[in-house]
Amino acid sequence: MHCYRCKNSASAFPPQLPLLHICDPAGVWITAMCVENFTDAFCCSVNIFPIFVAMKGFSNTYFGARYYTDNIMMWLSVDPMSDMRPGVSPYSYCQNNPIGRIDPSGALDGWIEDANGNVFWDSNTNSQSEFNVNYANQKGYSYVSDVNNPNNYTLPNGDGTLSMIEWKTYAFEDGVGGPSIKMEFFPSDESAKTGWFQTYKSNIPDCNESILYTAVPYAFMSERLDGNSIVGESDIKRAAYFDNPPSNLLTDIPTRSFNNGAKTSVNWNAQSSMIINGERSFTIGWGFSISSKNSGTYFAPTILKSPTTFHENAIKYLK
Amino acid sequence: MKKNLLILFIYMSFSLTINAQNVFYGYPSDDVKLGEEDKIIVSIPDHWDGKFNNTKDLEELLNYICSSDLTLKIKVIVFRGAKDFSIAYSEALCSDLKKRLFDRCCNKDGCQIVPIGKAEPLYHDKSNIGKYYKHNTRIEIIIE
Repeated sequence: MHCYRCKNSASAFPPQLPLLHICDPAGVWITAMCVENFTDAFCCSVNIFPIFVAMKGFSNTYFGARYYTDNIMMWLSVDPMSDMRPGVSPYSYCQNNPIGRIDPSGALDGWIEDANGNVFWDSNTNSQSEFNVNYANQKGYSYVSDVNNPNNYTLPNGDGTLSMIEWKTYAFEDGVGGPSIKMEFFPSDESAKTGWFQTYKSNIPDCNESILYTAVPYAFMSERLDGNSIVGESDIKRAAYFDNPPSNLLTDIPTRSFNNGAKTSVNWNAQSSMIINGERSFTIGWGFSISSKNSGTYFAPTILKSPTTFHENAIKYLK
Repeated sequence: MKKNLLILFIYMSFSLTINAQNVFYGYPSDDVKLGEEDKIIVSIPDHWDGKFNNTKDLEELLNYICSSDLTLKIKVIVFRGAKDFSIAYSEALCSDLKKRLFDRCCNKDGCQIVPIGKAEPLYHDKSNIGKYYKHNTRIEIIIE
């Protein structure tokens, strides 16, 4: 075993290992089973021997299009339509969310327009024929995805096409959860200057470990998500927002944690605006709430008719 | 019988010696010679909704990876809620790390970044779930 001085201190932490040995800065060994407060500037080494794990036999089940392996809970071959979902493992089923999603036809998800003209993303409606079944009793609704690609919605004003690459909702466990989203905009005018801008409101500002269980007054935050995740408050004129090359791809995976102590529900709601030439935009609303340790609700992405004034004011600054 | 036991003992001693692995909690100093399978464990630098914040810890991580001549496997292990969410979150961090490494040292070869998600725990006490998540969420840099 060896003992060396570390170059840094902040990023070291002690796991609870039975063989953990640490040394003090003078190089004297201290053996510890569990160290709670590890802040000094030294690091440790421990010998760990290889562990051999016995492999169990596999059993496969045939589902018509693919074989499923029970033991490792995975498909043996890729999804035939995996090219349409570049962000999802081709070995997954229902985007790893079999409780929240169904996949009766093996097709993709789609965009729906309601009676009031709101266009929203429905994870369970994959095609015109499924729409006919799922919305049989909903008057005024229509299926508005592109015929050849259910991910895409072509904006009626001709600005371009919005493509939902990924909208995943996960189970809430230990009070922690959130969705992951990937959206891309394809402008009709390729020379157009475009970029995403996002704001969100939440009573839990972040889910970093240090404030995992801390609640704050309802907070408003703005983000430029197409660059290096610039996060600010209500100052759209911050220079940092404009240092990043704009991108048409928006990715986000917000996490929040139910506050056990305060027993407050967690609310997180975002508005993501695609700014086009600093002149106009369209805005997608989406979010989630966590009501208890193991339950919550997701709000599917919807193209909003009326974004906040903040977004409307931001347009002219975001070129 | 005794002879077989002796051979087994010698074999085990030999195996344990050649397979010995050093695990460092924090970055070792420059004079430390790292060997195959050695592992460096550090906390994940500050992050925000699947992306790293620009912090001193992140600078240290990027500098360490970029300045290393060794072939590295970097495991991003995230304990956060459900298993599939943890995997998705570690994938998001991996993709941000790849982007930042490309910006920093785009000609860097021999660096594999692997999202692990909620697996391979080091800290097993679930009675304090906050600590369980915090201590198990980490980056492992493995020399290959």
